[in-house]
Amino acid sequence: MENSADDKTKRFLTDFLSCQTDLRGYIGALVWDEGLREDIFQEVSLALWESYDRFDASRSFGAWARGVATKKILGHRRNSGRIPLIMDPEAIEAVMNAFDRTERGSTDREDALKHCLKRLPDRLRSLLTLRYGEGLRCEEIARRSRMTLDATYQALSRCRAQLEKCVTQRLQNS
Amino acid sequence: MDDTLIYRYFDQTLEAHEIEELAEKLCTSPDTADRFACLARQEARLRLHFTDALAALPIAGIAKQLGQPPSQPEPDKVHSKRWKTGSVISGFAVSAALVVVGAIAYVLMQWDTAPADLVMSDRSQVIQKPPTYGLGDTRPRSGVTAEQSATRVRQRLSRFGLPAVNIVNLELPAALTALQSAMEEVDHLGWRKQEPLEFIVENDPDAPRKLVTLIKRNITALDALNLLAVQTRSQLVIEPPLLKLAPVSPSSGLPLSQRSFSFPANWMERSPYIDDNAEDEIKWPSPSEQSDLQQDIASMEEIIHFDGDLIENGLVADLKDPIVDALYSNYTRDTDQEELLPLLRKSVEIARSKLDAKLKEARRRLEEIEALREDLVERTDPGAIHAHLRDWGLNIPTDAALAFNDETSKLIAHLDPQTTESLSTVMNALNGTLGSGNQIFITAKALDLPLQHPQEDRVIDESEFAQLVVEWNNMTGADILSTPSIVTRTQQRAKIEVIREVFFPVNFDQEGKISELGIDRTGIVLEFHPALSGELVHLSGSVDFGEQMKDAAEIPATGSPVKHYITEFDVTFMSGQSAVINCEAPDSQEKNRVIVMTAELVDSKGKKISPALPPAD
Repeated sequence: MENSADDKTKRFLTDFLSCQTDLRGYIGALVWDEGLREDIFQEVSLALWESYDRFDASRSFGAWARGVATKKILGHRRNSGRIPLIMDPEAIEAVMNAFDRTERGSTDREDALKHCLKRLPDRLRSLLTLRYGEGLRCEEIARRSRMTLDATYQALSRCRAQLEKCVTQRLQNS
Repeated sequence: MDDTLIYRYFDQTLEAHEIEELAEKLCTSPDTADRFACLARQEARLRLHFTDALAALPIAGIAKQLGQPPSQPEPDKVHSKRWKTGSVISGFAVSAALVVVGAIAYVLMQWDTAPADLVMSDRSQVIQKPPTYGLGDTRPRSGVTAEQSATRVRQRLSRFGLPAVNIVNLELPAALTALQSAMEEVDHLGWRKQEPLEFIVENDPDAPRKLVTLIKRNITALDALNLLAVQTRSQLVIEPPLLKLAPVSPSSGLPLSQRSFSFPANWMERSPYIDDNAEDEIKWPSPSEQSDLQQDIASMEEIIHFDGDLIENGLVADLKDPIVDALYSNYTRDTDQEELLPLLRKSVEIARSKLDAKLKEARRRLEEIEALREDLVERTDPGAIHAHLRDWGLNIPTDAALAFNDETSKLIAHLDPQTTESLSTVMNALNGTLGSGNQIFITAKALDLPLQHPQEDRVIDESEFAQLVVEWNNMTGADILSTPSIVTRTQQRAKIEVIREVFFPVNFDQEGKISELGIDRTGIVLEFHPALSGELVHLSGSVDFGEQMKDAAEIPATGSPVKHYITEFDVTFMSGQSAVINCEAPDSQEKNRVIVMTAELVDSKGKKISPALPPAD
C-alpha cells in the first residue's frame, strides 16, 4: 500500500515537473494579474494531485493540466469576477489547442534562455529585470530608464525577439 | 503575422478593440495561435528567471539533475501579497506547496544515488543504480518478448560486479565454468537461482582450441564474458535461458559483427584531419560560438541602426565607450548641456563607427564559421567517415558497412571483429577513455630450448613468466638469442631489427671477379601491429630469424647464404601478460625456438598503468 502511494508520488512529480513551466505559461497567457495567476497555478497543482488517480496515463499530462486550469480560470471569472475579461471562451479554447499542438520539453530551452540572457547588453537586461523581475508596466520602465515610451516598447520587443532567435539557434546548434 | 500585437498583449498595452482583434486571429488562424503559445511560454520562462520564483523553483534543477538538492524558496518572498490575504484559496495553495516540497524531499532521499546527468525524459535511468556485487531482483516476467528478455539479462550482467576473476590458461568451456563459480560466490541475492542461465560454447569443430586467460579485479560479468569472447574470436549471444559464446558468423568470406559506437559531440574537432591547402589542423568553432556571434551581431545591429536619437533615448550605454560614458554622466547636469552636447554627439558618432568595424569583423567570422560547419556536415556522411578513419590510421575494408546517424551521433559499423576492435580503440581514444599519451611497451625474448622441454603456444601472466625465466636460467642447453624491446602506440606498426649484414655475390664479370653484390641479414626481425581495446592488447605480425647456412654444399654461388625462418602470429592478451609462441627454426639444430612477447600499457612518461583497485569495502 505504501509502495503504491510512493509510486503515485513519483509518477505525479515526474509528470508535473516536466510540464509546470508550460502550465505557468498557459495561465499567464490568460490571466494578467500577477497574484491571481499564482493563486490559480497553485489551485490547479492541488487539483491535479488530488485527482491524479483518475488521470489516464496514455494521454498527455500537459493537456490534462491545461484542461483543469481552463476550468479554474472560467470558474473564477463566473464566480468571483476577479478575472478581468481578456479573451472570450472561444479564444481561450484556441489558445489551449495551440498549447497542445506545440507542446515540447522545456528544460533545454530554460538552459538556452539563461545563456542568451547572459549575452544581452546590460541595459537590455536591466529593462527585462524591470519588466519581469519587478513586474513594472512599460510607462514606469520608460520613466525609470529615461527613455521615451516608444523606445521602451521597441527595445523590449526587439530584445524578446532577439532572445527567441538566440534560443532557437542555440537549440539547433546543440 | 507580426509579433507586435502579441508582445503588446503581454505588456498589457492593447486597447479593447485590439484584444478583440487578437482573439479573432487566435480563433481563425492556427499559426497565430501557435505563435501566441510559443511566446506565452517564453514570457513564463522570463518571469521565472527574473523573479524569486525561479530561485524558489526546485523543478528546473530536479528535472535536470535529480541528484542535487533543490534550492529552497524563501518563505517571505514567495507570493507574499497573496499569502497575506489569508483566504481559503491560499490555504489550499499552502497545502499544495507542502505536498510538492514534501514529495520532492522524499524523492531526493530515495534517489540520492542517481547519476548526475539525468534527464526526466529518461525514466529508466532514474531507477538505475551503480553496479553492485551480486544482482538485484531479476525474476522473469510474463508477457515479455525474447528481445526484451535478452536486453534485461544484458543489463543485469552489466551490473553484476565481480570482485575478482582469475582464469589462467583454460579452454573456453572451463573458463566459463570458472566464471559461473565466481558469479555464484557473490550472488548473495540469488539471481542465478531465480533465473538460471546456461552458459554454453558453440564450437567451430575445425577451429583450433584456444586457451584463454582473464585476470581482472572489479569487473562486471558482461565485460568478463566479452573479454573471453574477444580472446576466442567468438561473440556473446544472449538468448535467455541460454548464454552462448558462438563463433562469429561468416559472411561472404569475411566474419562480420555489428557494433554501435557513440561519437563524442566534438569528435570532428579532435580529428587529426589535415586540410590539403592549409596543411594544418582545422580549428573547428566551439558549438556555441555561432549562436553567440549571431546574438552579438543582432545587438550591435540594433544599436547601429537605431533610428532614434541614442542620447535622447539613453541607449549610449550600449556603446560601452568610456568617453561617451563620462560625457553622458556630465550631460545630465542641465548646466553643461549646451557645452557638452556637441562633444557628446561627436563621441557617439566615433563610438558608433568603432562598433561598426567590430560588427564587420563579427560578420566575417560568422561567415567563416558557417563555411566550416557546412564542411563539418559534409564530412559526417558515411563516405567521408572512411576517409576520416584513415586519418586515424584505420583502413576500413571496402565491403564493410558504416552508417552514421547525425541525430544520435552514433556510428553503426558492420565489420570483421579485428577491424571492429581497432575501430573500438579509435573510438575509445576519441572519447578520451584512453589517454592520448598511452603507449604500449613491448618486450620480447627469443630463446632456443632443449627438445625435451617443449613449450605450448599460450598466454601467461606475470608470475608464471617470472617462474619460466628462473626455470630457463637454470636449464642446461637453453640459449637466450635476443631480448629486443620497443615502445609504440596503438595502430602504429613497429619493427625491431637485431641483425648483422651479410654480403654475397650476385654477378661475376668475365674475369671471374664479383661485379654485383647483394645484401642480406642474419639475426632477428620482429614486426608487429598493435591494437588496444581498453587493457586488451592485440598483436599481429611476424618474427623472422635469419640463419647463415652452415653446410657449404647448400650455399649458392650467386645467392644469399642466409635462410629465413618466418613465423606469423596473431595474439590477444591483457596488458602485463605474455604470449609464448613457438617459432620456425632449422631442423639441424635440434632445439625448440620460442619467442615470448610481453605488452604493457604505459603512460606518456613510460610509467606502467595499473588496473583500478576494487573499493576498500
